[in-house]
Parts: sequence; C-alpha cells; structure tokens
Amino acid sequence: MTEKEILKGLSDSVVSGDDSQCKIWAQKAIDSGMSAYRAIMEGCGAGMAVCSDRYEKGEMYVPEILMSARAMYGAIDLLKPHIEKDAGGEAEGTCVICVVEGDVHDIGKNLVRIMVGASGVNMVDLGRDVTIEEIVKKAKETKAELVSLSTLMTTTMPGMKKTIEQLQSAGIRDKVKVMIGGAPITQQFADKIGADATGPDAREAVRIAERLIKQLRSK
Amino acid sequence: METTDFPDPGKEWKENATKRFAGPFIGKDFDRVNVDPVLLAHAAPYCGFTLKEFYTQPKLGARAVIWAHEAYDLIPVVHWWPTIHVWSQELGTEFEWRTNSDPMVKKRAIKGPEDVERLEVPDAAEIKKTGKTFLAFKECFDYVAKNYPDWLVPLYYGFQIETNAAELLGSEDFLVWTYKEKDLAHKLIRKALDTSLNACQAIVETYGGALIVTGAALAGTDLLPNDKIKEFGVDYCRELVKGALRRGAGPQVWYHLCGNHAKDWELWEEVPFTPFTVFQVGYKGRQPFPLTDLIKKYGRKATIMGNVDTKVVHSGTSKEVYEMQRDQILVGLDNPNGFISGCACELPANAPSANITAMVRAANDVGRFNKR
Repeated sequence: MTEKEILKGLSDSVVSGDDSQCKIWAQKAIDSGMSAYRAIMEGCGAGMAVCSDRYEKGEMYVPEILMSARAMYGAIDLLKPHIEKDAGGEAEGTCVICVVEGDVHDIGKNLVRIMVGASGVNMVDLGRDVTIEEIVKKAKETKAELVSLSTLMTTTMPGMKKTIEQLQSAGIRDKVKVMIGGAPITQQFADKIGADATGPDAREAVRIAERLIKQLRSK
Repeated sequence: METTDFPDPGKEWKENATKRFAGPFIGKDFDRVNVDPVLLAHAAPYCGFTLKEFYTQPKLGARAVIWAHEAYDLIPVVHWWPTIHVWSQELGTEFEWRTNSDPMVKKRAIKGPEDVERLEVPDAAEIKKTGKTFLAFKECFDYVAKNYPDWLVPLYYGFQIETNAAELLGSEDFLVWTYKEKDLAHKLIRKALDTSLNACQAIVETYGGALIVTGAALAGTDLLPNDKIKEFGVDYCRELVKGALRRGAGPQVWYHLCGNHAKDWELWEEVPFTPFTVFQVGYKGRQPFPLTDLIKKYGRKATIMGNVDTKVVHSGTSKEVYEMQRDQILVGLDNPNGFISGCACELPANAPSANITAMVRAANDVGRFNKR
C-alpha cells in the first residue's frame, strides 16, 4: 500500500466521520513506517480541511463536523506517540482556548478548536467554566501566542475583560493575542475590552488566528 | 432582600398595562405598543440582589419581576423561571447555582446510550409531589396568586424540547446522535416531551389554563440542516403544543425561535396557531430577524414580537437601542394581528437599565396609536 493511499484513506474517513475506519487507516500508517506527523497533517488534516470547506459552503453541518473531528482525534491518539520519532513537524503556534468561568456552552468553542487546530495551530483546550487564573497560567506555561475565549452568556462576558487585564498584570499581554467569540459578542464589545479580534463563527476564526499569529511574529 | 421590600404595585398602572397588553389579542388598541423585552433575571441586578437568589428564591424573583415591569412600564405579566432547562430536573439533571451566573448543569441525567432506556418519565401526580422544576414554579405562582392575584398568568414553559432533551445528555453528543443514533435521539426527545407534557398537566390541574411557551434553539440554522430541524424540532414542537392544548393549557401560545433561523424560519408554519399566538424569531444570521418577512409569512395568524438586537441592548448605547426599537416599531405596527415590541432574546441580566428605558421611550414616541 502506498503512502498516498493511506493518506487518502485517512482523509476520506475523517470526511465521512467514520471513526473506526479512521483508526484502521492510522494503524496502517504506523505499520507502514510513514511519518506520523505527515499522516496527521496530510491525512487527517487534509480531511478536516475538506470538512471546513464544505461547512463554509453550507454543505456540511455542525454534527457532521463533530463526527469528523471525533474520527480525526481517534486517529491522532494512535499516531501521536509515534511523532517523536519523526523529524520536524512544528505546529503553527499555540492557542489556549476555553469557555470562560460561569458558562458551560462549548459547542462554539469546540468548533473553533477543531477548525483552527486543523489549520496547524497547537490547541490547548482547557474546556469550559475555566477560571481566569487557569487561563493565564496555561498561557504562560505553553508560551501561547493566542488565547481564544468563548461564551454564550452575557453574564459571563465580564470574565473576558478580566482575563485580558490579568494577562496584562502577568506581563504577557504583548506576547499573546486575544480573540473572543460567542453569540452575544460584538465588535464593539471586543474593542471596548481590548481584545485583538472577534468573528462571527469558527470559519472566520481560522482566518483571524492566522492573521493574529502573523501580526505577533512580525513585531 | 425580602419580598416585602417593594412598594405595592400601582393600581392605575396595572389597569392600563392590562388593557395595553390585551390590545393585540382582542383587536382593540389601547394607548401604545407593548414593550416586552422578556425581563427575567435582569430583575435581580436591577433590584440589587444576585442571580442565584433570583433563581433559587421564586417568591423574591417573582416580586422583583413585578416591580421591574412596573418601574420600566412594560407588560403586567410575571415571567419567572428556575432555569432555562425546564423539567430536566424531573429526569435527574442536577444544577449548580452560582452567585452571578445563569444556572449550570452539574450532573447530566444520562451519560450515554445505555442510560436512555432507564430514564423514567414521572407522571403528573409524581411531578406535583417531587418535581423540582414544578415545585419552584408552584412557589412562584402560589405567592403571586395569594398576594397579587391579578398579576397571575400561569405559564407552562414547554420550551425548546429538542434543546431540553439535549441537556439531558450534553448538546454535542445529542447533535451527533441526530446523525449516528437517530433512534436514540428520538427516544430521548420522546422522554423529554412526555415529561414536559405531564408537567403541563400538573400545572393545568393546579392553576387552570396556562400560557404555553415553546420554540426551538438547537433546532436552528447554525447547527442543523432543514430536514433535521423538521425531524427533531418542528415535529416535536407541534406535538408539544397540540398535547398541551389537549391537556387544557393555552389558548395563548408564545413561540420563541431562539438564535439564527435564517434558513428554517418558514418550516415553522406547521406548528399550531391558536387565535392567541405570539410568534418571535430571534436572528437571521447575526442580524435581528426582519419583521417584514415575519409579518408577510405569519402576520395573518399571529401577533409578531421583537426585534431589537439583544447584543445591542447589552453592549450598545441607549441611542442605538432607541433608534433600533423605533425602527422596529414602525415596521411592526403594521402587522394585522398586532405587535409586541421587544428584544430578539431574553433581556440580558446585566443590560444597562438605561437601555430598557430607551426601548420604552421609543414606544412612547412612535408607538402611540392615536398618532398614527
């Protein structure tokens, strides 16, 4: 079996959201001795890019994206232990992502994690209902270039402002870009609290993340 | 803060507000358009206590809602609820109430497919005895009935049944089930629906006819395609309203389609429209759903409600809110079955008071019937 066939198998099973097939193809990649990083990026990642494109065109919906992501993560879990053996393969920056304290609605956050992650950014997902202290601590620890905050509730929006203030107090505000999102978030609010960007959905988040990382690196 | 810390409701205000509120339904305009931004938890910060107190102390919550509605000059109805996730406690969901957050799910009723079958739907008698959601509503309704009987409008929050079902499991897993485990998704909604309708029966048996509040949230354009929205949203919503009407609730029905319904909003013509139906659609994409479209499609069979952008009411200026409300009223007043001005969704708890005042001011400026 050629590497090309394995990559196609991985990509197709991600697109169809077939988690068991995706694991089978991941195992084939390992058994073939091909680069695990390549299998993730050019197999799973390529499949997720197809999903992202179809989602943008309205040809795929959120549950299908979630199914594809689950298939992809299943394969990545198998492939990850083999990455150390590979040469190269650096992620396009690190992003700490979470739903802020007091809110547990995480579908939007998960979509951003999936889409931005598929574009090559290392996503450190802290989950939901996350304290400001945890966010700042993890941003420092991972030397994150991006912090992505999400909320669906207006009552928890002030937590975003406080997080930005705490990043400032911790002395890392100039080393990290902050993007915020969620149904109640407006550009006006983002500007008001000093966030670097906001967008309407996960598709836009991919472009925003890329732009912010570029901005930070060009300083 | 205590329930006794508020002045008694003004009689004259109540009389006028009642006539104004009845206007769209009886075809008799009173003075101006109603303003109903769906003021619930906002009553807490407005009156100086916490969201936790609002949700966990029904009497205090109801009393503050009464005061806030009068103070802002809104409608004479007590909106109060213990949580948006109505009736899921009856199936085993546990909540956590924090000082200034909305209620959060602490423990889900089920963890996976194997748990669906074992979920037991309580009957109306059981719900009356032990249902946590029901007992919270009962405390509210009993308090209002005893102290402010002319304010009591019993509410049956049937609510967004697909969303309630999803809360039992977790929204993300539920969405995946709508594709991968359709039978299980249907079984779960069925259990949520049966529980909700039994709760409806419990309310009707205790308080008589009740306003049916329902709609959709997960079943919307942002998350699902139209065939799934019909299968998991519209069809169950229709069954919920028909079931509630059969149990003696209604005839008032309020449909609130929460969030973005750009692609599915026309599907909802399949739900029952009683002569006292209020219809509201939140958003078309990121913008408030255009009232002109709603009036064209639903205006002959429903009172249309909305539609100031809730994001602007929360984060915008009073001038922005005033202008948006003014523009919405000028369109909405042309609806043949009446119009209630309000936000695209529940008034954010921490919205500036000045912005609610701006909504009422716009209603007074351009929503007076004798000036048209």
